[in-house]
Amino acid sequence: MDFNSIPVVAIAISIIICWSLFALFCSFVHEALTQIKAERGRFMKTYLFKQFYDQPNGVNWAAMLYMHGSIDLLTRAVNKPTSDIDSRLFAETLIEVVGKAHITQVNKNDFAEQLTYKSQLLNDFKAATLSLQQSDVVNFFQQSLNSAELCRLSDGTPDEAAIYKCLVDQIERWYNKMMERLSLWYKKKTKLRLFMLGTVLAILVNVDSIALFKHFTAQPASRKAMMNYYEANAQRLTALAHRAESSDSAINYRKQLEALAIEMDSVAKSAALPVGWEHNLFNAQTWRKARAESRDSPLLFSSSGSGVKGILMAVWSFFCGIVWLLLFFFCKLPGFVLSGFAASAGAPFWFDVLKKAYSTKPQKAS
Amino acid sequence: MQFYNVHTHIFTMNNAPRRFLELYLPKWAAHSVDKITNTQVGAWLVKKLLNTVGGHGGKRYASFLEIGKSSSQNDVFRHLIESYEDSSIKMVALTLFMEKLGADASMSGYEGQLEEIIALKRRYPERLLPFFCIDPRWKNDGAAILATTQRYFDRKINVSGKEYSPFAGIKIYPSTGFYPFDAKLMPVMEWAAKNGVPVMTHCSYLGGIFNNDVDFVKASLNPYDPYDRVYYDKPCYISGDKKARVNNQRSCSYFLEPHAYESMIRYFAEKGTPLKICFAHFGSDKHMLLEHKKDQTPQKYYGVLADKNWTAQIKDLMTRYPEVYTDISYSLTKLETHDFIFEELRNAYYGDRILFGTDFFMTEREEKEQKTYTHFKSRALKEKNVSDAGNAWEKIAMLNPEQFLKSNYYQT
Repeated sequence: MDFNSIPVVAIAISIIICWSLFALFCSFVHEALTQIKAERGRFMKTYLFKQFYDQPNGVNWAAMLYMHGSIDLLTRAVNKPTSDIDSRLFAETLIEVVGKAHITQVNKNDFAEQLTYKSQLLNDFKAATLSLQQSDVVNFFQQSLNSAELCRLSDGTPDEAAIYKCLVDQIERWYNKMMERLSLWYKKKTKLRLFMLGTVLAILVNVDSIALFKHFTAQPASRKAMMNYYEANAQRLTALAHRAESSDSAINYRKQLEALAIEMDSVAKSAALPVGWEHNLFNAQTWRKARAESRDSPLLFSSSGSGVKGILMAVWSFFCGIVWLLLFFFCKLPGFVLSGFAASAGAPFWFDVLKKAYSTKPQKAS
Repeated sequence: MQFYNVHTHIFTMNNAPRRFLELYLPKWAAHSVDKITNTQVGAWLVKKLLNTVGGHGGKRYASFLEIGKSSSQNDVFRHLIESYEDSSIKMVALTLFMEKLGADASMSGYEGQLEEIIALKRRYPERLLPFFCIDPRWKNDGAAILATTQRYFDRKINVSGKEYSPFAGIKIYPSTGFYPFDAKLMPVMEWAAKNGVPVMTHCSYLGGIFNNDVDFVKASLNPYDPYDRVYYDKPCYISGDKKARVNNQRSCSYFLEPHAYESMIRYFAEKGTPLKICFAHFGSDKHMLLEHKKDQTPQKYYGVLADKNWTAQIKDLMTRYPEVYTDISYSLTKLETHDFIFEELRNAYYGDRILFGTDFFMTEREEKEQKTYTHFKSRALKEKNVSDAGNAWEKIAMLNPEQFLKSNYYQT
């Protein structure tokens, strides 16, 4: 007997396939929204503003950096800053911005004796490290320059080209580390948002994980259809999942999302899954069906009798109906929240789980 | 002919304190508006909402938010100059030190704001005349404030082979929590008087920005006046309202009222190096109209001279001191004030010390800059025979500002 055809395993795999598809859908919705809002660029800008706020000197170096022509030209619109600043460009622009700042220039003459470079750029940057008040940001500038200044020619004179290169490298290194951290912070933020988005979407398209579990338990054909679909499309879906997480600005997420929605709809229909817009909570048919299934529930919106008694019955029935609707919603809520959690784990995670599940198939079978 | 607008602002929300909107709106509303307008969709929604259901006021407020939320001073300045059909009119842009308003520090930092405006001066060296805002809380002592101010003025910027001083004047905003006679500002005032550098001060009754920190306001009301060498002991915190915001605003009137400047103005006049100082907004449109109607009904105002409206106080100072100026910024958006303005412009004592300014972009809440300017200009052009000038426009927007702005750092 095939390991994956054991009912419990097949149910679990089918559920995971549903979760991975749902997580993929949520990721695409999220990325499409992020792309429209240029959120990645704004997230980066916000954090660079925080890191480069130099309180003792009253200057935000990131604000000046973003005003500089070479960064400003990368921006597609005023409120859509670029999320892609090359580390070298960042370092070179920062050195220029700090050195050319008026706050540096007004005090430069006080340190004229120590500014012995032939390069104006290096002199200006050094003037900044000497004249600006001590702060975390200025300490970072000083440390970078001090390390760079160790580059000397064989006769002991400073090698200005090497110093500049080393200075740029130091700042680049910091920037790259910062970007790594930023990616982690962004992922953390995305997880939470995917959970919320996943829960809302689950409510809207009735992705109730508990109901799906019941459905797959009762419908072996449905399980089979899901597993067949996955086996036929495993590679393509896994690649798609990784693409959804790549946040590549060249991808048009809106178009991808439309294609994915159509595909998922057809999968749901072929497997006869109780998901999709027509199964959602706000659909009258869903209520009727649920009411019919629930034997003990009071009759919704029905009344009998006439006159005052009839009105009172109608009011009572309406009230009971509302209570029943709320109870129905809250009973389904854990299933939706579970789907939200599944979405927050991200599509690549679920596809990896599926990959592992399928890779164990031959050994188990043998 | 060279015309001037002596009162504009081009700072952005990046230059303003993080909780700036709380100075105008209740905390919850300020927080919501700020959060919502930080996103493009949110800003668009708020704008649509204000435009649709907010009536005329809503439209103006939407415009104010839109400009204030611009990403850079460059965008705001471009918006300003595009509102004028006269492509050579010079704009005085007033920087503001808003780091100590009790509403958090700004995102850019004050020096960051200066850097931005200096960068803009490089782009518009002839048209932009920035004023340098000073505040006693900026540096540890008066000498440091003076040294920094001097350096910022002296360090010229070179544009196409021509040297310009980045700044043309000094700006103070006392309602943010200090008196104009503050001892730490005295050295700069001495320097300004000596070099003929003009000083612009905010002076609108209960209008504009104020300090929102109750304890700070309470602790700052009775300092030592170094000009008169006495303690300024009359003011006391006004706590008549339930809302701290309202009490703060009222109490900050002590810092602003024209009477608080008298010891300083007198000191420099007697010394023989009069300080050129301009009281912006002519006290406020309401007080201008009170003066215009010659309303004798006794009224009480927040301040030491509680029975004299601020327009009357400014007129009194202008009559007694020949280097005291006023501008009509913001107040001119109320068309009813125009008669009063032209009447005062004909005054033999101080008619040549009333200046044209609009207070862009604060005025966007009332009227579009273009309308404010064209309304006033067309009316002023019709006012002929205003002393030696051909018409009121030439006097208020050209001759008077030239006299005010001329200094060792700016030649008109």
